[in-house]
Amino acid sequence: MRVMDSRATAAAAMLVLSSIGGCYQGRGERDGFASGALTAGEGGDGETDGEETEGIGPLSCEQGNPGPRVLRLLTRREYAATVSDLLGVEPPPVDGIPVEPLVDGYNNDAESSVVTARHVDAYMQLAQTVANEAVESSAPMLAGCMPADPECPRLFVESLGRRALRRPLTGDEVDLYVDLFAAEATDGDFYEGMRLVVRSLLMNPDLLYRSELGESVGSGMYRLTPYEVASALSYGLWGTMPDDELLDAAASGDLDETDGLEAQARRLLEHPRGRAQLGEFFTQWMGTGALLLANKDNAIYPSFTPEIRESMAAEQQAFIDHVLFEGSATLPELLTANYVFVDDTLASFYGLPQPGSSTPVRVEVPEGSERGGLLTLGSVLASHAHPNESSPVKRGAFVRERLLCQPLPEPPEDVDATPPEIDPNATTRERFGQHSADPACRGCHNLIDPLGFGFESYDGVGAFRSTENGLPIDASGEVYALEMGLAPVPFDGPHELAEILAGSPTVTGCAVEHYVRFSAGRHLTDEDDCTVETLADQLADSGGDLREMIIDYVALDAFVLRQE
Amino acid sequence: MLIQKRRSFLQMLGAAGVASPLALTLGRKAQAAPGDVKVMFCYMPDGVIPDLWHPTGGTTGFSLPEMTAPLEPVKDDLVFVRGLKMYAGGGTHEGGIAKLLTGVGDLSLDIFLGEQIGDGTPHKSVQLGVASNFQNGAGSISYIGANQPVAPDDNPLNAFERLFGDLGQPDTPEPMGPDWERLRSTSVIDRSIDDLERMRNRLGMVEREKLDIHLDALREVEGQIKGTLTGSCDQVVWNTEGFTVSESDTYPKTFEKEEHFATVSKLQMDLAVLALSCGVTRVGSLMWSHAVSPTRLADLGANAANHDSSHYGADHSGPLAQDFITYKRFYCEQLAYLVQQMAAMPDGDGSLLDNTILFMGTDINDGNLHDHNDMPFVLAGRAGGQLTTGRSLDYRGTSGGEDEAHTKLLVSIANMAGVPIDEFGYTGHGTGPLPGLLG
Repeated sequence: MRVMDSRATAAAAMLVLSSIGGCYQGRGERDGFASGALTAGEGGDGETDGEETEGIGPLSCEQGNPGPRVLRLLTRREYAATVSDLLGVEPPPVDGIPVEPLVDGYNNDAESSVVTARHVDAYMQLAQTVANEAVESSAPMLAGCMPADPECPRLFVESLGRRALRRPLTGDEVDLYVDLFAAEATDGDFYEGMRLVVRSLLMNPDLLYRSELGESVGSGMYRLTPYEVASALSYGLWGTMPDDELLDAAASGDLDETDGLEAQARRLLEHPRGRAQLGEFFTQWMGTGALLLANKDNAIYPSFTPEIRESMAAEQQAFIDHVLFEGSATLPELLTANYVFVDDTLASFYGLPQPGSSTPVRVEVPEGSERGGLLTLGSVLASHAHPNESSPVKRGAFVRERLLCQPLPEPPEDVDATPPEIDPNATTRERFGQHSADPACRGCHNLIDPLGFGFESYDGVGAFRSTENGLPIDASGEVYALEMGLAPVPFDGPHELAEILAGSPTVTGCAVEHYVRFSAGRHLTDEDDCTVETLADQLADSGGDLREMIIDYVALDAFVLRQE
Repeated sequence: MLIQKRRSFLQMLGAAGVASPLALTLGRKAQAAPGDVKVMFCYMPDGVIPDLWHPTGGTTGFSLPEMTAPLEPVKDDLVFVRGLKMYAGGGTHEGGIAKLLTGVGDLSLDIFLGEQIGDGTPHKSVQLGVASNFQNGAGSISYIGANQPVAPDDNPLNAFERLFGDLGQPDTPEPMGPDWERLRSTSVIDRSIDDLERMRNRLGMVEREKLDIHLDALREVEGQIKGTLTGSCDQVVWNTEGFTVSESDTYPKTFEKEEHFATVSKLQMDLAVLALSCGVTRVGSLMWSHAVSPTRLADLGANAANHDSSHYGADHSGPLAQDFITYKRFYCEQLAYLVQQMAAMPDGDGSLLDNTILFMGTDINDGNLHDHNDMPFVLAGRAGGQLTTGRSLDYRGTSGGEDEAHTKLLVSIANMAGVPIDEFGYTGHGTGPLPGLLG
């Protein structure tokens, strides 16, 4: 039998805590990682263990859990990047496309994202504009042949079609698209024919969806075609369509072998697009996507200017980029770095000397500094706070759900959720003390508030403070139920909390879980324990190198397999 | 030239200095008949203060407290409904908004009714919003499938283009020769439908529901492009305000800015009235902001944002409560305007209001408590004579001592729209329509 993995550990920890602390089990499952986690301690039952799978042999847990066969609608970000890469135009505005639903904090949820009439209308308009632009600016290059050549329509359809649909077109498909050149609507104009082909391809479901469904290899298992592998790699690691090199690797059979697949994965990961995609992952994982948008009270926080928001977002991207690609790529460094990436604007906001740069640069911070690591990023602190004050609850819940993967139940129905009224003679911590005083609240809020209190040295926009309303800040806290059977761990301030989290296997497993959730585009279930556990084990073996974890993930059999 | 015309039309709308009413004469025949019952759903965020919301007095001759007082001029056109509980499903704001129109089923009632009665109209249903996507982490009222929300369109100019773009051809002579852009769009939509059907056949039952939704969407747009489904109006007068959207407003977008909230609200309500009366759709929805609303309407004198004020505390006269009252009064003023516009719009033998059933709801009951008991709902319109207005109904404790289920009201709304269902979502407190609502 498998050892208990991190998800199961987390679930068990919650159980332990709910029985001790009295955090009831929620009535309704909320969007989150809540499935089963609060109601069962066993975790996955490992149904795939040893199961006979004809054709591909039994799939062991160490090879991960193949996901279901689903169509994944491109996000607006992915669609814009795809259109840009396909046609060599600037990324088009995608505001007209309806916003994606957020599930578990991620905007790429396969189940929830569907094409409505408003999507179709927006795709149509966008495709028309972009087709005009592309044909006007670079028709000969796009066509790759002379309009006078009678074979040109076919050559054009084959070459653009292969890149647009991320696979060679069938003979039928080529014919149907070539027919567009002869449509009444072109009036015999070659370039109008090109525009119709481009417009139609940009509406084609094989472009709009990642259709990585695989071909049957028996026993309900499906293996991705090489072109589907290319698409999975490209959208997973880049957030856009495959480039020619990757498509060629698919055509040549390079992607059929783990070595070839890994080599391409490493190439993609190192590419600027790979770095940007990891930045996107961290933004969604850390819940900082709304930083630029967050509603803050200007009267209370006049220093929280649009420039500060921009600088904080830039800091996060630069910091992640540095740790993952120049640093050790480990969670401990992400959590406990003794440096920050600030520009002059943000340095002033943080009370650091200005580095003389308008872009974020590395600045060392002394021991015991107010900054350093994920937990003290302005982006994280400002994102998990109220418009007008800090929020021990939001910040505690952030640690519990995003770093420990221990989902919290909703507040019970009919509870008076009114926050304690603003009191000019008390600290936020004192006002929220009711949670731990009231037995009805305490069970759950012991999981939340003592974590969140550790961030009280930072106000609602992430600025450091040593006093509040003239009273000294108390940033001491306790981590309950970090690991099963572990007594509450006391800490003072985010640095000590970060040290505790950096050494925790729960956090390691949680990081893996979030990456898999982001990559798979679906809510994880107990079945996915195999994938998460395997990767967490490998991550521990590799000294915590997150880039290697990503390579390990795409090298799993589960990455190229699907099941019914 | 459909889309190019639409674009130039938009530019015309957006041109600086357009102050005169936009008046268009539209000549096509409707397939939705005047007099058909139309349905409109409105949503306001974050519950109420119950004591200051619900009418006092009897079923008729009731009086309105502070929050609902702005509905006084139209109260004879309304039915106040209290004592309905949104049972089961998730809790708090997110759970409440998800089940408001779904009753914890898969589809929301606006989408469902659109599918049931929308076949003869260019748009089966139309989802509009006022800053409803702005900083929204709490979800939508509309669902096209299980866990598949439909985001409302918050850009009134874009929504107008979608709804009236192909009808909105000014009275100019027909251009000579073929309508090239219509031909091109036709080629593209035909190709797209064929591509989708080929994928659908290839995949068999895999992702069938998702592709069916996609195919329905393509068919709807196909009907609009080919003009097989059109509305009909004598005159479309809209955006007399000359509201424009600036490309330089990236965040918030122009139509998301708080100083434009009231203007956008009016435009979307006017648009809904036009769309329903012109047969562009028979089912509309309008979300004012969203649950956990960050909207702060300083123009009204409010200091706190909507959600912050909804936690008004114990004191009904405190500053937070006062702000919350201000917001609720604002939303009631919006509803009153919408009702008045519907009453003024001829439809069949009466007014649009005579032939519409309008529902307004919210995601929770008491802003302090986040609960789903005794929900503050309001109905308006007479649904073709089926609904007697000017009443205040109280269902507290009427279902075996518990509050009646709000899903029975959803059933009643569907029935009034001519869709003879017996249940919609939750049935734990029985099936059938809401007793005593009709006849």
